[in-house]
Amino acid sequence: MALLDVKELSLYYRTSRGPVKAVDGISFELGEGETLAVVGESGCGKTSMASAILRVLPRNVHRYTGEVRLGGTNVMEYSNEEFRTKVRWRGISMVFQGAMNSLNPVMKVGYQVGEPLLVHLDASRDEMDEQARQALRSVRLPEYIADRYPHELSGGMKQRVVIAMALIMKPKLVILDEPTSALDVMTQANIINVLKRLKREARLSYVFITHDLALASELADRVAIMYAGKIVEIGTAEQVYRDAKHPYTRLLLSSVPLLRGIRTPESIPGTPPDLINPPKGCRFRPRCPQAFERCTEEPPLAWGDRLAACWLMEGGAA
Amino acid sequence: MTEDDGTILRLENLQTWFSIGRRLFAKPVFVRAVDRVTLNVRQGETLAIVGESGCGKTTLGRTILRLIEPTGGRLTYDGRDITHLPEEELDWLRKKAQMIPQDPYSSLNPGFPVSRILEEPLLVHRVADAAARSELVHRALLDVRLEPTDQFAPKYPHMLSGGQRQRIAVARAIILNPELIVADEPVSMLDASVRIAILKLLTELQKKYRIAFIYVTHDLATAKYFSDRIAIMYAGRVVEVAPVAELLREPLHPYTRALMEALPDPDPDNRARERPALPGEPPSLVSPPPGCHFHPRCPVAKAGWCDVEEPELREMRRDHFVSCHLAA
Repeated sequence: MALLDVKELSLYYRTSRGPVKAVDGISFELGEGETLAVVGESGCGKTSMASAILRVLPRNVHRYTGEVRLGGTNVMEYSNEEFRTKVRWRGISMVFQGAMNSLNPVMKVGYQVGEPLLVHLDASRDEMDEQARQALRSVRLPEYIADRYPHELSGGMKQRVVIAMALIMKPKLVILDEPTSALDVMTQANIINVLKRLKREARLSYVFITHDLALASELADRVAIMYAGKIVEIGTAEQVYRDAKHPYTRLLLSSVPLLRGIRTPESIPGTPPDLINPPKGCRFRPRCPQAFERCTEEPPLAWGDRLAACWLMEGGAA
Repeated sequence: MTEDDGTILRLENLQTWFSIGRRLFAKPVFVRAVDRVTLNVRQGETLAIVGESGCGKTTLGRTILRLIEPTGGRLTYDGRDITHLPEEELDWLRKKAQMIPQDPYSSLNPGFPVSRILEEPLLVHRVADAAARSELVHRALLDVRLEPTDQFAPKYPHMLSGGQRQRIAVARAIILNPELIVADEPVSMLDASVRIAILKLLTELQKKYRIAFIYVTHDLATAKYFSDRIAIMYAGRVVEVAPVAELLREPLHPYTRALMEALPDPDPDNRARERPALPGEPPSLVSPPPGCHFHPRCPVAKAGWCDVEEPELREMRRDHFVSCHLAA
């Protein structure tokens, strides 16, 4: 049984121009100890998908449907209170984009890391302190950091603090939303190494959200490519990186500049569609160099052992 | 006047220190953002300045444009010393050298339509009459592929996408027909697919108008494709400069090597191994370490040498300079 099983998850936002279909019928499974990278351009709905899984919603929700099964239980049926106590932090925690800038500037780091224990487990201050220090050690920070304030830390250290916080309740699954995108290459490499070790040693599962295919390959066992609110291709890292089936995935891969290769990167013509009025059929059709008549009908994400939502799969042309 | 090797801009031991907290009877404290940098920029070339945040690369770019006055060394443009030229005498430089800023969301006046944004530099420098100005705006929009131009000209920045806004910033930078453009992280806020389009556009405009570019970036991978030479900066200093292919084939500075190793390419095999990465963080620019600024993190540093003596920038191969005692 999969640790996380998402079925037909949708999240639309209400706006004055009509509903924005940010997440539109997304399904995937994630096993224990497995990492799924969710890759797409900005505005493709990848962060909204994370919000939908963790039920962190804004006020203007138009539609919020589907199933999110965690360890077999459909947590979408939980009340908000049940969700708060049973799922958040304990089952699934999240490292939000730019979270390192949301640390409380007037509270010591150790308290902030351990606070969920006070709230959720009624832990004593000593217990909390001990576990906060342990969490800091697990992200390779020295224990004395617990007694520091956020302004005394570098960006890379703050980002580790935020990761330590996500680990404090020992969740099985951590959602990482662009956890290193504001950091330098070297700091990024160090944090990715920490995440790799945690994955190996604690059998953590990650949903790793990023726009960066190179970075995604550092952690991903499987990769989901998102476009305009939908997953257009999902497969093992080997399948997606070495033998991509969807034209969008291929174009996205060819847009990455390689430090070690000779291929010249290419841009993708056009812009992603408006999610209020997405194109009929395949949403990538207007930008797709291989589009044909059939593409005005929506392609399914199911062709035997390869999952790419593209009609080319039908004729075996892909 | 261009020098013999095509150099239009020359930096010799250029230094930009910011004074912070000068107290009575106490020694003044400085942030050594740019520390003894020697570089040249040739006509029509792209020189990438690559380094991590806080290494001084943005300050270097701004000093080159004389948006900041250097505190030491010499800066010459077309053979003319501009190191301490007062602002009133910099009008000609303001026309010849332009900037493309990082953030296309904050660098365009939200109250101006595109046509006015592009006209602004022409008005400031009193170039042409109204009819000719509108023709120049039209041509600049064509150059950055915002067509039909009469559709884009009346639009306001908020009506444009990030990529389109950055095209406006590019159009504004080229409208005065400059010789030099400092592009400070011009694509780091854009999506990967848009990024390449903007960089290709810059390369194309460079060829068409023979503009020299200084491409300030943290991203070695894009620098590889869109520059002729790369200068690597660390803690206020240039540690290595070389033509792109040479630098990537044979990096001579241990920091350059570390930077290359830390950067992944898309490859599913990456997940099976740890990425080599230097521990620690770059030093404070207020009190950088003595000797080579890189020595505390350097895997090959020699005690008694690297922590004592400051390395000079030496030409090890033709056009390949490195500032490391141990480079051979």
